[in-house]
Amino acid sequence: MQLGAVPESALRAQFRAAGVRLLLAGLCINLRIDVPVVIEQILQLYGGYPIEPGPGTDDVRVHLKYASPLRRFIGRRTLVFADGAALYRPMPLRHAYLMIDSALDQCVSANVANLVLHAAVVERGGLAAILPAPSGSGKSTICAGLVTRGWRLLSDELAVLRAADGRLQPFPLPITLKNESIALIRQLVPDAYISPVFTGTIRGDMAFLRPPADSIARSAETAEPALIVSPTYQAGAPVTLRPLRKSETFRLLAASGINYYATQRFGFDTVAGLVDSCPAWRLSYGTLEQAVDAIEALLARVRMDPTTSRPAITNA
Amino acid sequence: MDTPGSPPAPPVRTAAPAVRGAALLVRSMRDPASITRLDAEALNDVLPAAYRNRLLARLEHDLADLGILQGLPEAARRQLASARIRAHVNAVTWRFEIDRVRRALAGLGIRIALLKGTAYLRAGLPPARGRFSVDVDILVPAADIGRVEWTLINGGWLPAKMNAYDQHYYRDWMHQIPPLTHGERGTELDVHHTIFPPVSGIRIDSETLLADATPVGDGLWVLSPSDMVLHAATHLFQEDPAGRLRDLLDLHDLLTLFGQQPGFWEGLTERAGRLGLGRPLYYGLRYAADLTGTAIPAAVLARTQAAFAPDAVRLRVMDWLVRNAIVAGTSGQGGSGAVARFLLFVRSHWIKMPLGVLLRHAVVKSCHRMRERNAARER
Repeated sequence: MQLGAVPESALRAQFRAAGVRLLLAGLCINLRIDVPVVIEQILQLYGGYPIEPGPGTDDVRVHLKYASPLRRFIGRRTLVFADGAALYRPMPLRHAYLMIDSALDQCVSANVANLVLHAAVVERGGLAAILPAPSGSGKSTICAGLVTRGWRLLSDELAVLRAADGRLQPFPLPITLKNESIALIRQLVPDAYISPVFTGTIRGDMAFLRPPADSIARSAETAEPALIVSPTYQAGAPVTLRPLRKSETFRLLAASGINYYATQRFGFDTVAGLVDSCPAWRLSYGTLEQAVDAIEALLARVRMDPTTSRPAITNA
Repeated sequence: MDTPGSPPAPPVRTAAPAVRGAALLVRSMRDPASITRLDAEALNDVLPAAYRNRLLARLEHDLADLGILQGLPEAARRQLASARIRAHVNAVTWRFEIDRVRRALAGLGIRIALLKGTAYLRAGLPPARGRFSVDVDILVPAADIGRVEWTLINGGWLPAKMNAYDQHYYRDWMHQIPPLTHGERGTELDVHHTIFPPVSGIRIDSETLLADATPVGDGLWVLSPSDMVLHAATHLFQEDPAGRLRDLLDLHDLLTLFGQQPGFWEGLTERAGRLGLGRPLYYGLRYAADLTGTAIPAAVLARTQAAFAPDAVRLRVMDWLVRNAIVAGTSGQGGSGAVARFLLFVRSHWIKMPLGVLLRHAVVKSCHRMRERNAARER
């Protein structure tokens, strides 16, 4: 069942009482919100997400509250709790939505049944591209660019690899746009819904792009990792692609593993499996269009080998 | 974990979810099989409570031993499995750290006893199952404390940055030196020269403890069964017992294991009397029996009560405080649990320090806190 299928008035009440049970990244996350303005933001952005309407056992319970009864009215601040433990210091009410976004990321990373990498993931034709990169490399922007060209969004932030089969589990939260990329993406996809801009955050201006309905509708459908591209943005630089050696790829993936050490042998084996099966490149780019073109060209060279059922690269 | 003939679990009253979760948690830790009879809503209370109290992996361990994990909903199993993996990584980390400390101090030729969590881990005792440790605790001969500290600092551990007052607090009054942190790995190491703050007037000679210790290989030792129990009880009831269900369960495990050894109970009460730790032992036995259903011979309870119990009024106050702090305190919420936690915090200092010292300590700490707050505001 989709969140948007429940009447809004009922959802508002449910968010404030027992919480709404979102099904994300193979987990059931109970989201409870005491702050009406944040409920409205969630209704705008999360309409298509699958929910579990009935009661049941949750994997984790996230609860956004006012920092104290006084903070509900004066100097309004909020706190977010996961399973009863406060995650961050109190934040001003106008940034409360950001706390939910981070809390969901954190809950998914805390579950060591999946290997979670700091990477964007997009898929087309059954082949998924993993884009591991530190914050500020433009992976969310590239991700938005690819999605507007018809790629399916799995996540702009976390690659969630399942323990059972090493497949990628979608976690398609709204795409985080920062600073200049907000205007850039607005121009690229004037019809898409982008949240109002949160100004003055620690990362500058932030806004959230609602993923295409198709990506959200298919959020239970896993994907096969097929290629790895680590992007680096350099203003005005020409586009360059450099194939990565296996040792480099291993280091890159292990270093972007949020719970790599916590997942122990399984995390190591999964990274080793990725290194063996997926061709990998480092991409330097100066404009969004270059990056998107380059990744599309790479994908066109990757085929799933029917005998090994592993991605194989063809010479174009 | 429930033993036949132990007193029944305290009744679970309806309360706010977090408090309900805490009461359910106490019951689930005593009798893990009872968790399979809980409905989804109750599981949603008890699993987060177990997580907050760092007991989720222990619960998983007991459920797996009973072979009843499969009876739980998938989301519950996922959380428990995740906790098991995290606890395993934690154990690997701390086994490694214990070994680093051992290597660093091996040349000194002194007896080094592990304390608390790392002792349970190294000795393979029941409280180690599914346990999350946060530091290594060692006890060394008081006479060698300077050499030990110097050797560790040379070996890569860094002393905590502290103002002169806090240094004085540790060095002159406490049972341990200021905590050390490893410069590269960031792991904490607490070096003790006794198990109770000397400022309290109770002086326990480290040689006495170390002479009775049990070897666990590689030149490492752990306290004797009696001393280990006394330390666990002291830690729980002379420090601040708020929200320390885990520590009470440690005591439960140790008493259950060692209680089967011939002569253990007699030796325990005799040792407590000799070390001046009769009162914390009495509390430990009383609340372990009461809250975690530990099987303690009636004669032992009666004997410790006669010898070490406070007067009836103080005992009633303590009963209220401990039940609220341990049971409700696990909820991390306000209410009676918070009041009890505060009072026990005050009490823990009251016991440790003579009145004059305590008043000075309270004034100095408040001034420091105010100054820090002002400095933070100016920044």
